[in-house]
Amino acid sequence: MPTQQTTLLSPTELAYLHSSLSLNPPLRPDARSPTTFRPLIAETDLLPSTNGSARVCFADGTEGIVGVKADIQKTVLASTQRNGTFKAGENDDVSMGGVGGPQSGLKDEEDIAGPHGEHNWVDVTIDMPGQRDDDSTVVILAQMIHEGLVADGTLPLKLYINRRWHWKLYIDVSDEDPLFNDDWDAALPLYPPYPATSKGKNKEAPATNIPQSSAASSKAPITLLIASVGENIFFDPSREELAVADAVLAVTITSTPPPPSSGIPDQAPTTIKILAIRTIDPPARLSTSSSAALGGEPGFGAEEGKDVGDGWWKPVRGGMKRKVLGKMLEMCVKPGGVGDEVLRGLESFV
Amino acid sequence: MPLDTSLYPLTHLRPDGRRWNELRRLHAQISTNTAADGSSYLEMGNTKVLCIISGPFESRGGGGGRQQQREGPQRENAAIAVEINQAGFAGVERKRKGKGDRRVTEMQNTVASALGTAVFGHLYPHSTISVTLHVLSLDGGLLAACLNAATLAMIDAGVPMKDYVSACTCGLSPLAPSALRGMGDTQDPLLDLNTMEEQELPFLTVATLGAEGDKVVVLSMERRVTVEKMESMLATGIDGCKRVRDLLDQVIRERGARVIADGGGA
Repeated sequence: MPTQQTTLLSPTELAYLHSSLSLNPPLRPDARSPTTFRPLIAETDLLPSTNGSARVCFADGTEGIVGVKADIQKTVLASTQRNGTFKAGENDDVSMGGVGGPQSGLKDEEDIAGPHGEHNWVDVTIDMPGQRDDDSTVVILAQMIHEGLVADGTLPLKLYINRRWHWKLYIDVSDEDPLFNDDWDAALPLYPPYPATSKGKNKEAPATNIPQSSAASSKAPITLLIASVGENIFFDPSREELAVADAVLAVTITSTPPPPSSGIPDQAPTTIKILAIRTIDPPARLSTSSSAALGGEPGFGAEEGKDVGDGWWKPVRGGMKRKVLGKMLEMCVKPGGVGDEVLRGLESFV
Repeated sequence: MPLDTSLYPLTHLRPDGRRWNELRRLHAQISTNTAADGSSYLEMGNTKVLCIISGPFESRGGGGGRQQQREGPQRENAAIAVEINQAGFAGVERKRKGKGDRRVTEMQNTVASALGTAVFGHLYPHSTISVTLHVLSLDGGLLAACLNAATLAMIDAGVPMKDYVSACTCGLSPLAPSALRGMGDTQDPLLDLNTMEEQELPFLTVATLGAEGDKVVVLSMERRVTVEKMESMLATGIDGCKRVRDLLDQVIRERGARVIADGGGA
């Protein structure tokens, strides 16, 4: 399909790009600094028929539209699950800890009556034009967003109404022009689920679970896409940069409010927590130019990931270095780092 | 439901307060997506559709060979591939449509054939124009909104067309109680129905080509209606199409004026 474009760069162009990105300081094709994001347009609350909606557009035309709908659903009680067709032990969606603690051993229905949440109360689906619903990219991306949302365990908790009923949150992402790289950034608009659900929930849910959710409440997770070339680290890489990246990482972060003792919440540093990390196969390994550079053989060549003097680029093989990984994560979480900056930027929205 | 179309014969006002020949608010934009060849965003009331066009591009896959055979040795006209993507959150209830939904497939074919009559396809032999429509919000007149959005995006993409394909729906108001007593016929045609009206009333979707509205390119109706009513419904529908065309034209002209004011180059 027309939307699924591969970068059409020759091995020589890739080598040039790779070497300019490996410089110290690195030189990005669009002259951004390593931590600068591309300009983007984001808006929320644009669809009246949803509980929450958002749209994010990048300058290159990638666009993601998200609608969140909440629906009341009957809770399948753990006891019914045990007696019924499927067993609770088989799913890994054990009731969230932190409220009642581990509950897998409990026998009495009354014991699980306290507020709890399950991962499958949040449902993420992604629609990409020209892609099958079970396409691996679509499935992995949906899984990744889901993972980031439920990782800290507070979201499903907010969906609890009472023992028998809960909110089911449907998050539908519809992607425009899904260039491979930016799909990951489509996770960005997913922060509105929080205001949307808390609005819906607080109206009707019993007051019992509000203190808990606000105590444990963290900001909506954000997924950052980070690429590395050599020792250099780039945030929000463009398509061309991804084509020569050695390693690509999608890091989902969130910020937790500072402990109340630390004074005025606005000035106290927020702690940034990493919820999920995924490595993404850099397109370099998949692109036609890389296979051409490798001569079509998977195990070919000793010099890799470097431009071999003659301006001929070979994609790197093997994993990423621990040092680089550590540096990436540090840049995400340290106070005043990129993660901090992004989350602060989003505060203007909520 | 407090508002009901059965009140229409009494007040001559529809559930949302419109009269019989009033369109809903039509708001449209073009060039919404900078990277696409052509794009548009169209709202007809609460029906919101986003259209992305890429192309005309050379048909891909297989480097000729098999595809050429399948499509015939000389394909003189550009193929138009339409994909309608209905977001799960579009309706009131969250409903996910599978990729192979038959209603959607039928709409895709309707849009493709309507555009096919308007586009000078012979200028792009052996090529494909891919039209992707995203339905973001659904409140009646989906096919009409898709056709209008696709027309705007086609113009934005710079594909030569004979004229605007403009579409709207037209329904028939319920029978007044007086009519049942033989006191005359009071069924009015109603222009541009919303979901609530669409569910209760028979309606047709009509699309015309050209300012005169004399060429009907799409006429689709899925309900029963007496044949005498058909003429007034069609006439009202075509009249609505004319007004939609003026509105679309206005959008294009405003955009054009802005581009010129900015010194050319969209």
